[in-house]
Amino acid sequence: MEIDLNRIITLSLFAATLRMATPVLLATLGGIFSSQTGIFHVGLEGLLDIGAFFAVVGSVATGSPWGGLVYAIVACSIASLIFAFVHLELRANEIIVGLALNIFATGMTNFLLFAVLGATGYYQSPLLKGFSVVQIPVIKDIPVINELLSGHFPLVYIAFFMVIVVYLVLYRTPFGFHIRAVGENIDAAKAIGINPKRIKYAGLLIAGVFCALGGSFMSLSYLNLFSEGISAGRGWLALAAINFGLGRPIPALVACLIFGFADALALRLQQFGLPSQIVLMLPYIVTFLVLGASAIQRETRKRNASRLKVGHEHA
Amino acid sequence: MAEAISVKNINKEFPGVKANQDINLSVNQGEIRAIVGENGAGKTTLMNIMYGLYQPDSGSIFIKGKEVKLHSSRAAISNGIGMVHQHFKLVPSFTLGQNIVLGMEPQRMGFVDNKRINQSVKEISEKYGLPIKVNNLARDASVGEQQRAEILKALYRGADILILDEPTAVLTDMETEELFEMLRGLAKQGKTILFISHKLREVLAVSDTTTVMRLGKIVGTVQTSETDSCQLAEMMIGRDTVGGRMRQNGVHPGEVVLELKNICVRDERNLLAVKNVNLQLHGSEVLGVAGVDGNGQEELIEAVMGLRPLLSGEVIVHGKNITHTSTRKIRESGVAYIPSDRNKSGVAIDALIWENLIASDYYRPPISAWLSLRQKEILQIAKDLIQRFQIFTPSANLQTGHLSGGNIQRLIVGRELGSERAMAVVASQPTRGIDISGTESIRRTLLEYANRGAGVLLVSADLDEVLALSDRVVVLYEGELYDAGVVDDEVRKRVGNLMTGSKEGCINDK
Repeated sequence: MEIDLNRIITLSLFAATLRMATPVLLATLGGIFSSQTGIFHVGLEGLLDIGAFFAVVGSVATGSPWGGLVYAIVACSIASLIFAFVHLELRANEIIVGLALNIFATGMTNFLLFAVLGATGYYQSPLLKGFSVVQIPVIKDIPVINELLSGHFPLVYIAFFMVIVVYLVLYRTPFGFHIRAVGENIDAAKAIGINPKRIKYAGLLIAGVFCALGGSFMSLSYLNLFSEGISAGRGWLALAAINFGLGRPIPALVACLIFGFADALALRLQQFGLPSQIVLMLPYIVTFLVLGASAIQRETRKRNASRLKVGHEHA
Repeated sequence: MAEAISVKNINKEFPGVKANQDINLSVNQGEIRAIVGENGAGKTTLMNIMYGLYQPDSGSIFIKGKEVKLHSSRAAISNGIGMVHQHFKLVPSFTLGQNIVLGMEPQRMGFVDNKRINQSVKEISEKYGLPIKVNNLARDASVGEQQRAEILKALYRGADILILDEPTAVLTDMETEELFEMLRGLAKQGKTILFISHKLREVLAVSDTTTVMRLGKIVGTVQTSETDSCQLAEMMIGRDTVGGRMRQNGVHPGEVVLELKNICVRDERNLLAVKNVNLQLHGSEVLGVAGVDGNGQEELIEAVMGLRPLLSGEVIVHGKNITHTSTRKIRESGVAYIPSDRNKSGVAIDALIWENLIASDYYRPPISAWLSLRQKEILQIAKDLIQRFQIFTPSANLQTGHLSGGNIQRLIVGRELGSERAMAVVASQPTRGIDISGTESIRRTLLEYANRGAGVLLVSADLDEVLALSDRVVVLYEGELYDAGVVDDEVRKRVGNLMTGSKEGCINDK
């Protein structure tokens, strides 16, 4: 079997990378907020499911993908507030609540899929209005660049734009300072009168809204449909990206792009007749490698730091 | 001079402890007031009340003559009170400047204005003579710099009264000197400073007046220039010779059962916590190790028990060198261990009582039968220990966490001493936080054990306990061990001077 690299590595592969990275990136950005308040949010996966489902419901009900987006945001916000209440007020373990949310999301969407839309397994219909692509005025006329940057769905642009917004909010605004203070040293935050609970509520709510965007993207762009388990592990990839970046948006973006690229490459390779079972493992192998590499790097840095300290001691 | 803050008739009771009784205190503006006292004297409780962290059961607080209610630390801050806790409350990834302004960030168009942070922090830093590198990350800053940031944090919030809880506990000598210089500068600029300390040398060096607390009460307040360390030590630990002595005098010690040679140990911060300690514990002897908490006691004991690496030195049990062996080997060679934190290191709190009772012997006969535990033997042993050591429980099958503190401690003592194999007992704070009857029975058990020929190394921050039980007393002060000799009528004074740092006679710095 001959594989022509020139036909695999093309501009459209990179465009596909951006597209595949988008839902993971949105969930990542949201998860960064909850993670910076000190909550390890394993419920992202379920929130993506809920977002994707209610985006479809909203789109059918209002006849507009933007209406679908609003439905998704409302649904994910409610789910996040329930999560927050159970974790913060009833003091349930965040991991357990997150897992419960994931299981609940699967069950609920399957049930409502039948109850509301009368479908089983998946739902697809001409009534379902998806987003349409955006051609960017000047860029669309520049060759090469246009293929890469123009003609994406709106949420792709929003996702990448949000990286900057999230960075600015976290590292430049008082709100972001308070979020990070709560996550890093809750006693320090309390000592100066910050209410940690309120901050955590906010972090979880923001995570929900971002997952609503990510979910809407999955069900209302390209393929306009909802199917069971539509998020397919993207919420977990987002957790990996957050972990890789230690909660910082820019390194997390890098991780998302790597995942997106692996995804896009997997799709492409499938077209070239490689066994799909092997190819589809690619994104997860990449995840494994990325996390392993970052863990090794962190450990080395820690070891070097402690060696430094020993050198400076004064006994 | 005008009064800055005063408290009248403050009372505060915790379950079983009268932490503060009828406290009256008045501090003038621009004064440096030291509050000294042993562990558990009620200093920290009083400071927490003045900072709004605790509500007093009765009594009132006045700031500049006006009564205030401090329901929270927020209320205290808005009344011009700032506190620097012993454990700093900084966000590691923030710069020192950002930490100082956190919660009151200067803003420009919704964004944090780093330029103005730097400006205003530099301003107060220069005004009050507390140098810091504003852009240094908190996690990279030295301990002294972190502390200065904490002080600036209070000043930035407009504090006129600063409360410092053992500010020198974490500092090197150099840093301590610098801190004192800064405190004097602050006082000159009209700030009122209250600081808690154990170390009389430092109190004498920096304070204008000193208030001594003991057992929840104020013993007295003296002009620091008119006192010396011996007077303060006496006020701190009382005048009585040795009250409530439980040990008979004149016991003849046997041969050496536990010997420590040139022990050096590092603490978590990698500083030397135990410095060249030499010690011999004889059979039939109770050797008391007195000293204020945090002077290396924990580190020393953990190193002896193999729970913490020894930097250097040797541990010899009954002539056998057990340095650098495992904790199990150390225990098997005849050392019993009663740790200070009973719920964390003494028992597995969620395990059943019988499980904890066999925790040191489960792996060998008669309890262990290769792959299984012998339930019958275990129940026998458990029943026997429960009865002999008066552990009040309806059954050995109960979760240990349901027992009271005293019962848990008797369980530990029973497990450690019940088999009567140990030749040396290392007991750390054996009666801390335990009711009177529990304390009494544990002390009796330790003494009985010594009478049977074993050596008991009793480490306790409770001086009365050390003096009531010991034949001989040594003192740990800043990681060094000093001999205070056999317990006699003068021992209290000698120990007091050693544990407050006036070993070379009385100090008066002023």
